[in-house]
Amino acid sequence: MNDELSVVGKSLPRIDAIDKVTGRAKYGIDLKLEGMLHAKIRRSPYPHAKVTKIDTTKAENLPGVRAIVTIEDVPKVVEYWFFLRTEKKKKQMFIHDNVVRFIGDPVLAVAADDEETVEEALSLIDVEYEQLPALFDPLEAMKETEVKIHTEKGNIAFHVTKQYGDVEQGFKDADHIVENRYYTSKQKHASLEPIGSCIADYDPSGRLTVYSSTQLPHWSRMYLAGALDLPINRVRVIKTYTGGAFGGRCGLIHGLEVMSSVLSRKASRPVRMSFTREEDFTATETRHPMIIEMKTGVTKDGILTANSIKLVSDVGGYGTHYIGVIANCLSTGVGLYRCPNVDFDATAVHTNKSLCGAFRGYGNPQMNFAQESQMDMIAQKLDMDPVELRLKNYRGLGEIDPVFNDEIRSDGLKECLQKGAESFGWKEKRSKSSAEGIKRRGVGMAILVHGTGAAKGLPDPASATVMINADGSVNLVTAAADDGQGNRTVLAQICAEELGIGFEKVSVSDTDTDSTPLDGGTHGSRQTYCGGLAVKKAAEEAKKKLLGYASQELNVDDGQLGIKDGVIYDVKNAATTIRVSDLMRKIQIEDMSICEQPIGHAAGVAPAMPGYFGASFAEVEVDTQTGEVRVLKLTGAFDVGKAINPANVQGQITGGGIMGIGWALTEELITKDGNILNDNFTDYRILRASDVPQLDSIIVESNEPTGPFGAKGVGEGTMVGVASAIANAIFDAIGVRMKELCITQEKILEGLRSGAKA
Amino acid sequence: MIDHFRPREYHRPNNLREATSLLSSFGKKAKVIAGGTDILVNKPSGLECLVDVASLDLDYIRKDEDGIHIGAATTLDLIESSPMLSSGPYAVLSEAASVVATPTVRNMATIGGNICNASPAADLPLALMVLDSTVRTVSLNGSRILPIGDFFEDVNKTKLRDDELLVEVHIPLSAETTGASFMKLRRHQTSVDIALVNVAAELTCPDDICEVARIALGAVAETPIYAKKAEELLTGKKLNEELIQKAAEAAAEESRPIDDLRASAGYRRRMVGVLVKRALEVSVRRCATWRK
Amino acid sequence: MAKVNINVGVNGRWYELAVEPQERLVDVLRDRLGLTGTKVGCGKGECGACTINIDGKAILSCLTLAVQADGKEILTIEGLQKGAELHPLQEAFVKEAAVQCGYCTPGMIMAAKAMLDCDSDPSEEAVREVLSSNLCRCTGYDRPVKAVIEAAKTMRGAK
Repeated sequence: MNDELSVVGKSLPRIDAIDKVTGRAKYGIDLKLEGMLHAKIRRSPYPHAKVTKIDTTKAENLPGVRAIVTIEDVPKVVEYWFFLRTEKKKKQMFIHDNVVRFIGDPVLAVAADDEETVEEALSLIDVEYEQLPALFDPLEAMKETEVKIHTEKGNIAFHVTKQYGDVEQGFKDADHIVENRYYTSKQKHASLEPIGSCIADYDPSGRLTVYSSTQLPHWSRMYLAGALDLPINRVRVIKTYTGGAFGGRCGLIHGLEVMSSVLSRKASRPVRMSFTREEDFTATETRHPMIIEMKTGVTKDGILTANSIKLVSDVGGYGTHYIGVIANCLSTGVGLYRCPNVDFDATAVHTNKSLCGAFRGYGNPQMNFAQESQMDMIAQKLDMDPVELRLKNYRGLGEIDPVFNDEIRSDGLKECLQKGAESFGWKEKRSKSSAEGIKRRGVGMAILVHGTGAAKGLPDPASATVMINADGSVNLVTAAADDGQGNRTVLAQICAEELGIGFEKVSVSDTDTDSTPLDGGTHGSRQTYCGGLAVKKAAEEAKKKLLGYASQELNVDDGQLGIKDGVIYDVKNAATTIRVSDLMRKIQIEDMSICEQPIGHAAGVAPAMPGYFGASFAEVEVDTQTGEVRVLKLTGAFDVGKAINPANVQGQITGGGIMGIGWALTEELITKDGNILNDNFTDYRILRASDVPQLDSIIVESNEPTGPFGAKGVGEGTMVGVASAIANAIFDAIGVRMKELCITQEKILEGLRSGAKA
Repeated sequence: MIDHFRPREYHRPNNLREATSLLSSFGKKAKVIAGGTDILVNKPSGLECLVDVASLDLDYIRKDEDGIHIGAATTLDLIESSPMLSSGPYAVLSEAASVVATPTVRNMATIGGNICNASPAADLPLALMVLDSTVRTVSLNGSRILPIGDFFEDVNKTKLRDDELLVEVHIPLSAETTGASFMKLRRHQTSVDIALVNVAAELTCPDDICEVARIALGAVAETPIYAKKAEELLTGKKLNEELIQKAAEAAAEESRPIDDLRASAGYRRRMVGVLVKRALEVSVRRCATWRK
Repeated sequence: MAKVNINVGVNGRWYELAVEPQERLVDVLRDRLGLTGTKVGCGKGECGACTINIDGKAILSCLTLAVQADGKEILTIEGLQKGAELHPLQEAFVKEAAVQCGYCTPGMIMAAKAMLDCDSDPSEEAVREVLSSNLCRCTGYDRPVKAVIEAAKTMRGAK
């Protein structure tokens, strides 16, 4: 059936590309509203303190100042939509106290007629702090009982243990045991549009409209309703064009929308707040740095017998996604390999550094770095091809994932490994080891699996409405938030394919919570799969209605009708046809007794969280005199079930690949006493066009039976295994095992000097 | 009141007299703006006047019998691609120019601005130092010429007086059999970076003997510096691998780097040794292949 | 604060504006002239999102004062189209799927435009070098580079 696809499977141009190349696309900070005020936040200079006094009198009297809010008026929202499930948990999301918990934590905000007045007003406000002892090391913070970053819980935000089988026995059964400790760094999304910008408009009739680039318009709407004490119907979130998210806009931005909304309510005027790049780097969510201790047991034949994982996640001053991130560590740590005995102990700890949240991979990159380094060491110990070791142990087709208790229904990993290895030149490159010379080359690989969507773990709704117009064209209504991955285009393709009409005949709505129904948002690689299923279902329903009318028109049973290229036809008699456009004009306008627009709607949760597999291969060259590592080639092969838009998928593979190289070699927020020292692109380095190695993207299609046209996700997985592959390649090149990210020149030289191997 | 970058006046004088008059009357409260790529990043407060050099005809590269003259307002892209700087030891300057920031920044940044910003890690000064360049300044009182190696005083500070304008860089003609090279160590997988360590070297070797050696080190002191002891080790000697290694080690000893968020002092010092060795090796090879 | 009168040509039209000495060109373009296609990504000349063309050269508008643009001709992304007809670079970026979030796109296209106006047949290496001025977090750069090379082909063919 799939060979007959006419829209799905094609690299069609994105529906918003022309807006973007002409400069017409308006991102948050490009928008203007009549009478708009400008706002800015004043932030804590201390990592941990009580705000004892705020005197705004001088600022209030400055002409042009229209509203001031402080942490005395406004709660901090540490949001995670899991907590919306009960009233009690919901209340926990709103922290209302006078404590600041990281350098950069908002203390107050001012809205004024122009930016200059805002700056002046901020300087006229007196704030007094009582400094508190600050904690920066998560291991220390875990043990600390006197200093509590959050008074009720202390410093431990979350702790979970989970056991599968019997690890003690598993280690007894092992012929080899590999035990190590790994460190991963604080990575920043660094999207080109700084995080974040919003306009909040609280009008006098008590309605709040927020123009925001949030990835989760509906959840954000609910958070705002809670924060402003409004019923949900009076809160409207309109998503603007977004310049990249990668998890950095997974909800509300700390201080941004809430403070802007309260300022707007006070001033009765729209308020725009826009963070600078420095504020983006220092005061918005980052990836959770983790310390992972992993002990892995394996037989001499290379079969895993036991895996013990002890993980500490450094949450920072506030936590939003820390539970989900740890849950994802568990599911990928247990899900990827068929290891019968696993022990998982994870603690999320607060420290007085900038807060952490969602970031592409959501705990999987961290777990993968530890896990795939372990596997590489095992392969080395057993003198086994690392690819073969993975094939022996990964959990594949037909097996049950023990975390979600669900069957694996599609599995393209073997093909990923085979095609990836071939394209990369794995066998040839491996046989050429250069243990001599100043510059040494090495190759390494890693596999990964990542879940599509969050159906089994979190509220994960998707919905869509398909409206067929009088000329047979279609308006697709969806709240899918597109941050640049192109999901709105993909959803249009699915809709067009299902309805049998041309791609150009489908338009996709803007994302506006007033008119686009409940959707879980764009995260967890979910829109193609979850959004796509909803779109397909909605299109099916609309198609059914369409064919119902066609059946009457043509006098043919509707079970016998098909649609192709906008023409409805009798499958048994190709000459019997009617154009969709002709039928629609009749139904909607001509026949005055009907006048009905066929509409299809679907809402609900996807039936599964299918894992999508991938394999990353890296070749590096290490300069043993300077410690410099250069990635020469990166191959990524990913099983996406079905590539609805192959160019989109390739874009994720190359983009994720580059982000993975950055996480391995160049990206790390360097903190000292709670200060982030590298809040700029000179010292927080993301790769440039001239830094990119030879990139190889391979798409594998295993046809996920629960997915729309067989599709599952891809967006996050593409960066998950890259750092692991690079670290493994470095070992192959110079025999030094790098267990700490990011890998710097000095760490390489240190490793060479100390002969650090295991 | 808040400190701001808010110059009250902006002037684009048409001649040097106007320009230097402005600098004289505003003194410390005036700053020159050329490409803007340093001043608009640093945004100094307390300024009253900006003096734009765009209309002073200071963008030129000329060659005559006493060498190459480069106007202070010449943008780095022109230096990078100039045929006058494409061969011979002068190419070390275009090599240095080609690794400053990004191509678009190089369309705007000027050699004068780069020199006067006096970053200890600047790339151009090292090339200019090994080429024995001089800089010329003018003020209402007249004109001065200083060797580039003497021009830098401290981090972001040169000998330029408040009433002076830097107008030209002069590179004397090089002797035949001179080879120069430039090396910049960046953080890895990063083609655009401020140098962790940068080095320029120039050797004049008629026959097999090294008559003149110049080695300039960047990012390892408050200003760019000559590795004088290393230079002495090579002068008048026949060059071989062992001697080059010794000179490289001597240069490393002469450096006085600090720890910062980009690299540790120890690493920088070691890298001086590595880079100087590599730069000398390239310079030796180029001695033989370049002719004036 | 004494304002300075300047005349700037933007996308073929001349404007007479009174600006303060410290006003950045990018802010004048975006806020005064409503040309929001040029983006601010960092404000320090590191990301290239603010790239425009001045007298045919790729220039960072966040590091240019409006006063410095007096008497100059500026081209922004909005000025590339000829009526409804897209510039070959814009066409190529769409066709080669080189646009994801799109925030870096105007800056990249303007950097490429200045290059192609001087060098009609650049090597891939040369294109990468020029585009190294423009940070992109989404694409990994391979498709933007290809788009520039394809645009160059189209522009050569059209002559």
